[in-house]
Amino acid sequence: MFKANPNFLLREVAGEAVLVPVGEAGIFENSVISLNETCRFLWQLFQEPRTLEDVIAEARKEYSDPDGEMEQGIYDFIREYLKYGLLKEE
Amino acid sequence: MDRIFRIGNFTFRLCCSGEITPPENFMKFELEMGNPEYTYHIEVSACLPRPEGRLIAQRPDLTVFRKEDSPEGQGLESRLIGVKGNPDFYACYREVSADRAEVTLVRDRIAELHIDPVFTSLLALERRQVRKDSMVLHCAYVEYQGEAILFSAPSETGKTTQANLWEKYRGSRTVNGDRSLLGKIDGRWTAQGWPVCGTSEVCNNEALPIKAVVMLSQAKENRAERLTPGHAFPLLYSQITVNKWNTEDHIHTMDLIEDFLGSVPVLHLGCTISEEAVVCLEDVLYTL
Repeated sequence: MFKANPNFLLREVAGEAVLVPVGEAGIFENSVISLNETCRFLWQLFQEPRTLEDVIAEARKEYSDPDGEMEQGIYDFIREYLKYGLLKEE
Repeated sequence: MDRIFRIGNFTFRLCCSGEITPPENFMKFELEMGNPEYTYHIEVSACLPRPEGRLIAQRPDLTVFRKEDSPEGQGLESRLIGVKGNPDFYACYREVSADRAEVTLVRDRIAELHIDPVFTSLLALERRQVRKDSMVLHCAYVEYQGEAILFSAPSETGKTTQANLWEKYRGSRTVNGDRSLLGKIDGRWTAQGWPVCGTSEVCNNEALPIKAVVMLSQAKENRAERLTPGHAFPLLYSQITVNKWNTEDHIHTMDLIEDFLGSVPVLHLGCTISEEAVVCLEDVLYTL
């Protein structure tokens, strides 16, 4: 199961989504992470603990996958977000 | 010394022993009269007191503590303040009530107080400013035709260079070479003076309505464009002083940035060191 790190706050600014480190995450660094629409969708799913399969199923309800790249894309998202501490494994 | 100062719309009293002299730039913010809402007492000692509270943030030149154990001391901060490259702290800042802080300085380090950021850091001013709906932007603050143009970017990008190009080719004037306090006056976002100005040594206590913020990057060709608020937010946020260890102040700062972006244009200028860079920005700036 994977869950969004609660030390990153999703903030909407004029329709653009950014993740802002709060609390002890990067306490002396003034940087935020811009999210595109699909990353925002996935981030919101991970507000609750989810498995890879669960998230793929939810994404299929929301998006079509004509090129068959959705699973790999979600896998890459999880791998990258784990790497940077944005997601936690439970 | 017992004097009153005003920075932005924060008025405070500074009481300190005669051996302490604020830097010349700080004295530009002195008021002859005023009603201080906060008092700082600065004293000199051979050693620093022990800060109170729980450790909430730490880096080599700053350690922050917060009191959480008693209702009357709830949220009060203490800090051990140092200078990068020197392992010993030179001051201890302690908030003792909602309107008073006590600062202790190490006697051996008094000589360093003539350096603007060394003195200003004693007062945790950014902590007071966010509660006055104001924030400090890392920028070259330039006056042109009665308005402020704020060139902002990480250090060494070329803020001073672009400010100097505007001075040379358009007759603008630098008000502060490194920082500006942003706050609303009569409902309009306004650039105000700040007592720290980096290596530029240009520091004036003046307030001007903001024409635009220009986020700079170095480029081989000049290109200027207005940013959407969503794209401007990460760039602007990265150059604003934010005490992230205080979540309430952090979120309030983000609210202020959002409000700012709702009324002040933010541009990106990819630029060379040339008059063409000035023309390129001017073309976009004056067709907004």
